[in-house]
Amino acid sequence: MATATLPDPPSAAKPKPRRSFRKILWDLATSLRVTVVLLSFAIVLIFFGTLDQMRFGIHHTLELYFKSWVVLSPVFSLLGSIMTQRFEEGISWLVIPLPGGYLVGTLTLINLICAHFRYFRPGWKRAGIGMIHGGIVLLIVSGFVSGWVQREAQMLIEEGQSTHYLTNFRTDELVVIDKSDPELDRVVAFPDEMVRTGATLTHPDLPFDLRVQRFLDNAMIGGRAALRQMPAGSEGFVAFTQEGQPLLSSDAMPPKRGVLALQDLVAIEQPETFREDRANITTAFVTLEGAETEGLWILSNVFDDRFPPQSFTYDGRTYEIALRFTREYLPFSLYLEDFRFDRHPGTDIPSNFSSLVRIDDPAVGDQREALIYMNHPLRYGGLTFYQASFDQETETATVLQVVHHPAWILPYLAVLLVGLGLLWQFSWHLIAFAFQRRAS
Amino acid sequence: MSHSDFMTPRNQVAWLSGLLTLFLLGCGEPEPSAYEVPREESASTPPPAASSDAPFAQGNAPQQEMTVLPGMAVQAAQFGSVSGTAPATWTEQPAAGVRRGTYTIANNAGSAELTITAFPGDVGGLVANINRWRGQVGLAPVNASGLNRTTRPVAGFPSDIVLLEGAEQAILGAIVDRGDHTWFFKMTGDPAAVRAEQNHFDAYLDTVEFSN
Repeated sequence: MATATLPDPPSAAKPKPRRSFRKILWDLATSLRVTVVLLSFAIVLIFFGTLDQMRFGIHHTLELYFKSWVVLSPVFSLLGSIMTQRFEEGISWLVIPLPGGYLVGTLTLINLICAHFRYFRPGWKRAGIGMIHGGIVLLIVSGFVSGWVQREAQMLIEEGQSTHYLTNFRTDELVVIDKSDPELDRVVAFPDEMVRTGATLTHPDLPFDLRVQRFLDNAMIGGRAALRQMPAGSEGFVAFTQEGQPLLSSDAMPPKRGVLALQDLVAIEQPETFREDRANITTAFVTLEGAETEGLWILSNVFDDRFPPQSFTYDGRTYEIALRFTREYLPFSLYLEDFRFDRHPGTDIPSNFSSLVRIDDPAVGDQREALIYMNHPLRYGGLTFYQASFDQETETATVLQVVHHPAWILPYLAVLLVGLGLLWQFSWHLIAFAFQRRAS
Repeated sequence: MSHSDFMTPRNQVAWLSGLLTLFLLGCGEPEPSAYEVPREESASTPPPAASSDAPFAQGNAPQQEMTVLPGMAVQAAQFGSVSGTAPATWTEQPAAGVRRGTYTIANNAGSAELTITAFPGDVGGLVANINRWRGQVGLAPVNASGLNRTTRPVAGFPSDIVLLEGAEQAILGAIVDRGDHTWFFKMTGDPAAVRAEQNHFDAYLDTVEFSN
């Protein structure tokens, strides 16, 4: 007699062995599937990062996509741009979070190291695998290290003059310079990240505080007459949006000082530019707090050396304040003896730039000449000076690109290690194969 | 814990991850820096002389004179150059400062000058720009609906053309919108002379090309 066999009730099911949380984490960290997923994310990131260079240029894209943990990418606009050759603003609000370069790099690094320890069995036969893994780990690590330690800046030198600082045209600093000493300038510099927040800026070397009332990433600055057609009541304001909406009232502020008062300037906010050949006109409205110094000042990186300095006295000392491109002072200076270039025949296009400079280093008493030209940079004091450009107006000033990269050797070592590992692995198999055939 | 326990692969991974995390979190907050440098002489040269080309003006200056800030010439230089075929009656002058081109014009009716400038953004917008020019020839400001302008492309870019005739001076101008910056072609002179140059001005705009 046949009897119906009923399935076991669920409660009677043989309980699966429960994996502990640590085990799940360890399996995930060592999973080769995770490796493939991470590599796919890297491909996606490079794809959309490359497309987004259309909007932001290479430098900002690098920060946004590769030197970040997460990026909100308008992927649909970017995909549309492949067809239409222009960025579709209409759907740019539709963003998808992608893992940034730091996240993909870190997870790949963890995955690679964990998988190596889980699966790798030491021995001569697999020594090459170890070297390849080591090389890739070093390559990822060198990517992180480069991101942190590599610095790039420019040095502009006029013919017959010397310069002893580098200028970074991508960042700004708010400086307060004590000019009281006839020999020395005492500089206190606040990086733009601090100025941007609108906080009160204090420093033990300064007997007064600065308060940032308004910070504009990019602005147009000019006299008030351009605002003749502004709505009534705009007289009491010094900063406006592009549409003419007032941003900062001067009526509620201490009296205007410096160039703000002298020329009755106003600033109109502009969209930030990311183009490689443009600089943002960063502008800040700052008040100084303290009895003698009270006042509202306009500071901007467009007020260059040709502009009268903005200065005041406090407690018998003379100070200057400015917002300028970030400077880094060097212990030595470069004197430009001669700047030369040719022009391509029949055109105005310059070629063959070269700068003959003299290095003056008082610390070591060094004074020698160096010729900097294409593919022949000057290496001095841990810095590399490349011929980059020149002042197109005067044609007598050179612009050197200066790179500080103490970890430059790491990627070379990494590639060498991977190469040696591959060579080892292939050679081992080849030799083993040859011996096997002879034996058979 | 013995030494061998301590150095199990799993523990090594934990140590490496820990160190990596510390490394990643190592980037601190921005801080001010203080240092001393050999005294640098601050430039004390005043801004360049007033020029009537800049869209931005000095409020308390007499008449319509405007001050060009030093950075403006640098900005203007970034917008590349302009070229065009000028009629024989126009004499080209060297470009200087914020001016990207200058022509002096003389005809039977009188004389005029054409200046070509470029500035970032839209310089306050079309209404503000035209009203500034209206002010310069002694006309009252108007609102957007009162702008008596014609539109045409210049080198493929949308442009507005205005003829503003005052009692003593007239301005024939073209405002070329190139997106992130604006070019101004402004002919100023005796009203009769400017009126007589309208065809020349149009023909010149037909030949204009921008190079970046």
